[in-house]
Amino acid sequence: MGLTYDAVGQADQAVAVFRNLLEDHPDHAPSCAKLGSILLRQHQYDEARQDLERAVALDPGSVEAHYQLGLLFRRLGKLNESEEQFAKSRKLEAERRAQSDLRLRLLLPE
Amino acid sequence: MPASLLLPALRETLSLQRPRTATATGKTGAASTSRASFHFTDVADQAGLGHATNVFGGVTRKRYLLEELGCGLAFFDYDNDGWLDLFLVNGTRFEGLSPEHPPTNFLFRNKRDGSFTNVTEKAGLTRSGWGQGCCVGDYDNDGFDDLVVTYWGGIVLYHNNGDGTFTDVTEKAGLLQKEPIPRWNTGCCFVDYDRDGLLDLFVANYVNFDPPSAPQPGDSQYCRYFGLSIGCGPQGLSGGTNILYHNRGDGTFEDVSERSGVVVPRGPAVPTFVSDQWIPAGSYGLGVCAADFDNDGWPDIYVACDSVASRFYHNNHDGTFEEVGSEIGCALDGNGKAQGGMGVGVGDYDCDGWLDIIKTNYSDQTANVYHNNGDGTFYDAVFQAGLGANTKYLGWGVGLFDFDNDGWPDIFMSNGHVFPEVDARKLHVTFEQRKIVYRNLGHGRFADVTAISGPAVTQPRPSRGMAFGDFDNDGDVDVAVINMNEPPSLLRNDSPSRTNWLKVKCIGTKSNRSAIGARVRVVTGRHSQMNEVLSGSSFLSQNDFRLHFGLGRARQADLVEVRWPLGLMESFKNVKANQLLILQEGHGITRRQKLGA
Repeated sequence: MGLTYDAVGQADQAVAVFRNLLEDHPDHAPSCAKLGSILLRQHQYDEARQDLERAVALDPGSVEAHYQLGLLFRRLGKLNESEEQFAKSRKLEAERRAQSDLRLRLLLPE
Repeated sequence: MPASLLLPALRETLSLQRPRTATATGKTGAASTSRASFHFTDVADQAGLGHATNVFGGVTRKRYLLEELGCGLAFFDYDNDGWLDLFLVNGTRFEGLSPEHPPTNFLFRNKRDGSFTNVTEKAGLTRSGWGQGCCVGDYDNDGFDDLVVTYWGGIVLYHNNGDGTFTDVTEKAGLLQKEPIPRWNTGCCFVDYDRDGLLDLFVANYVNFDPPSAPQPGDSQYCRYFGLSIGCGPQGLSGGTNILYHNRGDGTFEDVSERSGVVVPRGPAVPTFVSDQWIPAGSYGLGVCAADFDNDGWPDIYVACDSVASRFYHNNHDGTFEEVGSEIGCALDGNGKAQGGMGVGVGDYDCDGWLDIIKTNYSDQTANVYHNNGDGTFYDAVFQAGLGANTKYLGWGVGLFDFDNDGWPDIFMSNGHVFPEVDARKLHVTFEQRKIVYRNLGHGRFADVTAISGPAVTQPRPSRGMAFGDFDNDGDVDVAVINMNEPPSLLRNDSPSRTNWLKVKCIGTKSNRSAIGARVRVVTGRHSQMNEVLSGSSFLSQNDFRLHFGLGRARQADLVEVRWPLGLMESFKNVKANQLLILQEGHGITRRQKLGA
C-alpha cells in the first residue's frame, strides 16, 4: 500500500503507511529503507538518515539502504561517508549478481 | 453575436473553468487524460521512405551481440532550406548479402510537400558497414551542419560542402581509429566542452568485440535467455572505452580522452569473455547526451550504459571531467541496481528550470526518470512520474517533446526486443513491440496515452533509434523511427490541437554556429519552460536543432530568453505565437518565419 501511494505521487500517505507498518513491525528492514528513501526525496534529511541507518542495522545486506544512505550523505556534503556507503552497495550488488549467476547456472545446466 | 464568434469564446471559457486542465500559464492543475488525445499517422510510404529498408544482422536469428542493437537516425537541415531532411544509419549482416550491392546509409531530402527524395548517392553518403548511430554539428563553423556516423570499426566525419554533397574527412581530421581490434563506437554528440567556440566530439563505446574470438550462442549462462541460445553479452564481455576528441580549430581533432577523464571506466585493450562471475570493466555505453545539467554554464555528458551503472561526466571547467553518476543518483535504479540502459532523453519535464534525464532500459526493468534536484543530484522518480508500470518493453529511442503544445513536455519511447528467437517460444516478451507515449499531466506526473495515440504507435514493430522534429513545418513535433530489418516509420503528428507554439532556431556567431548548448527559456504568464540545443540523444540519434515550445492557449510568449553557449544572454518580450524565430548570437531576432498547416 505504501509503495502504491508512493507510485501515484502521494508521498505523504506513503510515509504514513510505512510509519504505521513499522509501529507494528519495527524490524521490517525493507519498509525502513523505503521510508528513508521517500523522506530523502522530501528533503527530510534527519529523519531519512534515522530510517536508512536503521534499515542498514536491521539488514546489513540491503543494497537499497546503503545506496540511499550514500545519496543522503552526498546531499549533506559528507563525501567520505557517502563513498563508503556506495562502496558497500556496489560490493553487495556484485555479490547478489554472483549469486544470481550461480543460481542461473544451476537452473540452466550446460 | 454570430455563432462563429460565440463558439470559440465559449470553448475558451469552458476550458478555463476545467479544474484539472493544464495550460501554458501553469495556473491550473494537471490535465485530464481524456480531454485531448495524441494521434500519430505513419506516413513513411507516402513520404517516399518505403524502400529504405534497414539491414541489421539476422532476421530470424542472431548469432552475435553486434547484430542485436540496431541503428539511429537524424533529423537535420543539411541544405539550409528551412526544411528537415532525414538521415538513416544502416547496418549490414554477416551472411546472405550480395557484395555488389551492400546496404548503405540513406539521406532523404525534404521536398517540402510531406515527402522526401533519396539523395544518398548524390550526397556521397553510400558507405556500408556496421553503422550504429549519428550526430550533427557544424564543427568548422562554416554555416552547414556536418555529420558523424559511428560504426563498429570506426567513426566517419562527413564535412558538409554546402552544395548538397558531403566529403569523408575522417582521416584528414585525425579521427581514423587505428587500433588492431575494431572499436565498437555507439552514441555520439558534438559538445563545446571547453567553451572555445568550437565543437568537440564525444563518442561512447560499448564492448570490446571481435567476431573471430567471440563466444557462440549457448556457450555460457551469458549466452542464454529463458532457455534460448542467444548471442552472448554484454554480460561476460569486457567493455570499451569512451572517447573525447578536441577540436583544434583547423579542421583536425586531437584525442583528449585520457587527460579529460572520459576514459573512466576504462575497458581492457583486447576483447575478453568470462563464462561466469563476470565483473564489468569498461564503458558499456550506448545513448549519449551533453547538456548543462547543473546550470553552471558548462556542458556535462551523460551516457546510458548497458548492464552497468550509467555515467555522468561532470564538467570541471578546466578541460577535465569527473565521473559521478552513481554518487549523484542518475546511474542506477532506486534500489541501487544497474539496468540495461539504451537511450537518453533530456528535458525539463516539470518545468522547474533544471534538465531531467529519461533513460530507456532492457525488458523486465522500468525506465528511469531521473529528476534533477537542482543541487547537483538526481533521484529516480519513475514511479512517482507514472512510468513504472511498463516493464515488458525493451526501450530504445526516447524524447521529451511537447506533442500537444500544452506547455509541458511529453515522452515518446520506441521499443523492440533484441532476440527475434523469443517469438517462437511464446515468452512474455515479443520481438516486435509497440511504442509508448506518455502525456505530461503537469506537476511531475504522466499518463500512458499509447492506446489512444493511433495504430502507428500501437502496432508492434522492431523499433530502435528515434528522432524528433517538425518535418512538415506545421507547428508540431513529428517522429521518425528506425525499425530493424524493416523500412522506417515516419510518425506525423496529427494530434487534434488548437493550441499555440513557438519555435526558436539559434545561430551562433562567437559560440559554435550550430548553437549546441544554447539554452532558451520561454515564459507565458507564470509558466516558464526551457530547453537546450542538443547534439545527439535518444538512441544514437539526432533531433531537430530548432527548439519547440507549446504555448497552450497563450497567443504570445511574454518573454523569450536565450543563454548562448559562451554566456551571452539576450531576451525578447511579447513574442507572438505560431512562428519560427531565428536568433543570431549578439544580433537578436534576425528573422521571423510563419509556419503552419
